[in-house]
Amino acid sequence: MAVDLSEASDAVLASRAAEGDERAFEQLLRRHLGLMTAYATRLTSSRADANDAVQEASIAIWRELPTLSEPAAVRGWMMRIVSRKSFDLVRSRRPASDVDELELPSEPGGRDDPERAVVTGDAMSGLRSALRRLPESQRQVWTLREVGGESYADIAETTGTTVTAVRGLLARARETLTREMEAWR
Amino acid sequence: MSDDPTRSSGYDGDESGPTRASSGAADATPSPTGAETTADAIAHGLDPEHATAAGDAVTAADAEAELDAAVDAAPDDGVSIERIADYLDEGRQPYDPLIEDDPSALAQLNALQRLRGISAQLLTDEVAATPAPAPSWIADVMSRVRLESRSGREIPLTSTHERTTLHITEGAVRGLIREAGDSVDGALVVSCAIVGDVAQPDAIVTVDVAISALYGVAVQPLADEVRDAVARHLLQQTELVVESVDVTVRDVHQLDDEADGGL
Amino acid sequence: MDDSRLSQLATELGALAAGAPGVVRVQARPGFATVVRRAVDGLTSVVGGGTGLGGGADAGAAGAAGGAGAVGGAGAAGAADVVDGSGAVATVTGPSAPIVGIVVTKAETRITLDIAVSDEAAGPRVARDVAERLLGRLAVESELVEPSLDLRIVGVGGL
Repeated sequence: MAVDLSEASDAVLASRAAEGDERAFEQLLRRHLGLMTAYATRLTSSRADANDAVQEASIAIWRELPTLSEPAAVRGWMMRIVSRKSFDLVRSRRPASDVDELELPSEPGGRDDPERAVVTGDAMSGLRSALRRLPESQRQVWTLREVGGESYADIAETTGTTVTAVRGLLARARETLTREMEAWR
Repeated sequence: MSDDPTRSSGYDGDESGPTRASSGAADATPSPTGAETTADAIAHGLDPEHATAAGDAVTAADAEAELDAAVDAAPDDGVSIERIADYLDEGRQPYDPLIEDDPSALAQLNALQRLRGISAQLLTDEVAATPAPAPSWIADVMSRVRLESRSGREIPLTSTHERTTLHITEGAVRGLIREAGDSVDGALVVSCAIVGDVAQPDAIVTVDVAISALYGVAVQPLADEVRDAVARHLLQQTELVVESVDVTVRDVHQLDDEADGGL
Repeated sequence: MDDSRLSQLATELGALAAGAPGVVRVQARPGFATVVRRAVDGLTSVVGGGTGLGGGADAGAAGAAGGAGAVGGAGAAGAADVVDGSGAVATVTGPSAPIVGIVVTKAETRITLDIAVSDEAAGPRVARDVAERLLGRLAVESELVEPSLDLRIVGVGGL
């Protein structure tokens, strides 16, 4: 009778999965799948695209787990792979959207936006709607930084731009968001 | 996820190095030098040691500041939002009077801090609202995973026929070590390795096993039990000549451990 | 021996292996077809390395060149398109190919397969037992030259 891994820590699961334990890998995946999918949905603005990106990310995670030097950091590490695959997917399916130059607002509401439609006056709703109004490139970079916690270098690599461009996009996003969020106080 | 400002590697000056070289330094706003900042800080009552640290930080950030000014044209602001954001990332250390003592910069800092507080929660609701994946979705992933199983080295088994080769894979052996260790109550295998030239029949190998022990269980007897179980399984399922099985207790766990499982 | 007979034989060998005590699963060796494609002088025929029909509980799929896009057990082709200098056969295997791989050259007939064994059995003994059974079956095929076996245990306990 196989041991119950559902209570095992991320670090233990990551270490076992890196050594070939498929059950541990599946457990790790299930545990973080919601987060990965929500993150990918934010980055791709589409639940369908997000599912595909997360599936590709899952395979890459399996392959690259042996390279993870700090098993305890596996969650953030997995999220990085999700963002990488999300961007790969967006790039391949929507070649016209150049992250660097797109200044169109992102899709209003998103097709699959799970958010309740009613504006409640709550700060979280305020943030969500402010984010939707940001140009896509700014929104993505901001999400990678503030939600994903990724470094400037990683963000630059994922989006195919430079650290300078990333900082510029972030500055603009932050200015807009702080201004709009202050209106919610 | 992003609420620990020191966690990410994004805060070194280093990482921006390669790209900095290629950009010209259009110097819109001269940044204070390290010496100026130090002097300033001392004037504000900081003791010399902290003041020097503040000065050092600015010296290191001089190049950054130049670029900040170029990138983020905010001519009326004494301090760019980028610099404020970086300062927030550093945990507001070392104390920067140019931000803290400037009402509008401080207001932006506080606004950024509030924004950050909400941002960290942004995904939480969405995760709750995300429907569970179809069982076939996970099954698909797992079959693709199985195509890339980590079999590792091939360990020979004695064959009774010339030209017929029998092996057990290293991956299979590690799997059985995990099962053997897991079968001991209170133990959970974290990592294992077979050390030695397994491709040579009759070569002597050692086996390393790292486990996590259930809190409260006596550690030495547990390790002994794991060692025995592993040795027995290896004897039954392989022909490895195992000189020793070394068990280390790397970790301790509790049954209701929620340390980093889930949100 | 023609390819369809060889295929039949491979299927039979797979069943023989699966029926041996202590064997939990028989699966195709990942990359079997790719390896063979690169190999071999005097190659005359290759079959197998596929997923089998209705295979065992978890028949692994043959990874033809990385298996990109291979989802699930069925549908992965263990294709070995082989043409050799002596002008002999090109054999294509597909989703219904037997799991056990057979490579026929002028000098020998090589059988390739992976198995998982029960953790209650003794792995080395099971491996030797399977080898005996398969080689025993092959011995009565007079057309086959020098049969030999390449067998790996890839799992113990098995899921």
